[in-house]
Amino acid sequence: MIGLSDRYLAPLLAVLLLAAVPVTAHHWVGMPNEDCADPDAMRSLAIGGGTLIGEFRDKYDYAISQYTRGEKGGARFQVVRSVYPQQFFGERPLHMPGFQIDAASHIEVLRVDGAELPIRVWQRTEMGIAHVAAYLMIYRGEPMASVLRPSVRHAFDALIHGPLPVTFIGIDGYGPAPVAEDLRREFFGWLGAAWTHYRRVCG
Amino acid sequence: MNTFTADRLGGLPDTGQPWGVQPIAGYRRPNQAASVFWRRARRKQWEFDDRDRAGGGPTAIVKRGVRDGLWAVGVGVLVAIGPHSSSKISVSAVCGALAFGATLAWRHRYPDARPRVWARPPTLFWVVLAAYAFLLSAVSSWLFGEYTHGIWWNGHGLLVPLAMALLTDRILRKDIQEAPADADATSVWGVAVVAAGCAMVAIDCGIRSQYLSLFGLLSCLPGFSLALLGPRRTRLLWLPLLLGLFLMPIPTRYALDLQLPQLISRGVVEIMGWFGFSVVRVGTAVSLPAGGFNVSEDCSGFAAFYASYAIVLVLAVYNRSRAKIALLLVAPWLLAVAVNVPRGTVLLLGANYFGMEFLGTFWHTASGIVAFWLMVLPLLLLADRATLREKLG
Repeated sequence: MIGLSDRYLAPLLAVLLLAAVPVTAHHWVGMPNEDCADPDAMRSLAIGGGTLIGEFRDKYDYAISQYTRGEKGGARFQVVRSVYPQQFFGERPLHMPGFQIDAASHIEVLRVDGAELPIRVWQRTEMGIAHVAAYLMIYRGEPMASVLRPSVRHAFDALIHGPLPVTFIGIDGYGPAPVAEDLRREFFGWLGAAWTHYRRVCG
Repeated sequence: MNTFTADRLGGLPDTGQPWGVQPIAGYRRPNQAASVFWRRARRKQWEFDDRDRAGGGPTAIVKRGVRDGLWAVGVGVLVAIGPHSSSKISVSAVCGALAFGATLAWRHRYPDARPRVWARPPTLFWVVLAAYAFLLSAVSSWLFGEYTHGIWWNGHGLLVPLAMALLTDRILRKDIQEAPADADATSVWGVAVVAAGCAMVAIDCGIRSQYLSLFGLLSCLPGFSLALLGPRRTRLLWLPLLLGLFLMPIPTRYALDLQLPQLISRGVVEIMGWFGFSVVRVGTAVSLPAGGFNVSEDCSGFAAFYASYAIVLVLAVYNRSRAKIALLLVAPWLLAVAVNVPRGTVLLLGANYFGMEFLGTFWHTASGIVAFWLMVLPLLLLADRATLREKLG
């Protein structure tokens, strides 16, 4: 017969129960996880400017606590807040329509009110049509283009005090090839305004 | 010293037994010195099988019925919640019910007549298992979403644990036929490996990558094997343990890096051109005057491509033909393109004739499910059946 030894069952149980402590605290009891003074105010990005159509969803799924989507003159933008940053670890964020672009991305720095915003940009032109997409992420009040390293760096702090959400602000749109640069400038302007808005409502 | 005792290692089948239980093919006696022990253990075991499995007392019949019922419920639930039975609840329920009925009929027609080889585990084992399941709750929402969201993501996820369990059972059944009768020594290193896996789970509570948690939980499995079954059997089980890596959900965004959406959209344009349609393609989006769609990362067959490699791993390990192994390694990519170009063409024609609403119908999902299995099943043609039979029985 194939028997299971019971020699090491007790130490195995001890190890598993030790790991169960943080799992209980983070996934069952829940930890404080908000650093924005008024997170709901992020939605006003979708109704400010007068030309926007907003769509709001709270608890989009277990991983996304707030999801805001809007349109502005044919361009669409998405604001996502989540304490599960893994969906933003890669260059292309997961499950975000508009960021499926078969082109290399690069980071451009935008200066707004003394802050340097690293913005990841895609720009691709095919058949005379340009597709431009750009996003900015904010973690612990700091603008950043990638959250992988900061998440790992702050892992211990998050383990003790609870994780803080990542805010993803992205915009993309299509236009005739000659106006691609105008699109890009417009998107940068919107992202800069979004950052200012974030500082005002969350700072 | 471990706690294995001789009476927990018996159960060898033999030929010519009068109890009507089918012998396991390929059995050979391990050594003569242990023959007396084996004969006793075997007789005890087969008597149990005679009563409990093939036998006919009312208790045995009820037990068999409960066991078959549990199997059928398990398969039915798996089919119903899995992504292979459409996202419509009604269709999923019907498929689950059909799977339930089919499993019951199968178990009735072909009752499990193999000798029982797994000894009853110690009570503490169930507590350890419950603690492990509790740690799994850290990633369960994520995994459930990834495995059941649709055929577009990680449609094989629910099937992998089943494959791991079946392979483990087959390998260990084979082992007790061939292994010497001496007891396996378990290893304290198993506890160390489990501790390392648990540390990953704990750290990931802060990072919340979930990948680290899942990797930690999968790393615990070889540790459990070392501590509960011993190093020798852990070495035997390397394949099912490695197969566990396919439980890791891979984001479909890598489809673009594999050129799948790009090639499929180009293929659709090419085929439509043969039929005289003028299709406009921008990036991976294809359109006709009345409708079009984007060959997204999800729709590019990436999920089936990933699932295929789980099958490729098993088929390549139990394959003696180098040519077949080489073909197995490239076949998933070729099949992804070959299957999804016609599928994309059909969808584009549907969108053109019935409007964009066609893409929101059952047929869109159904075509994805068919494409998934058309990519996965042809791989079985490259299996080395003789080696599979020899190694797994």
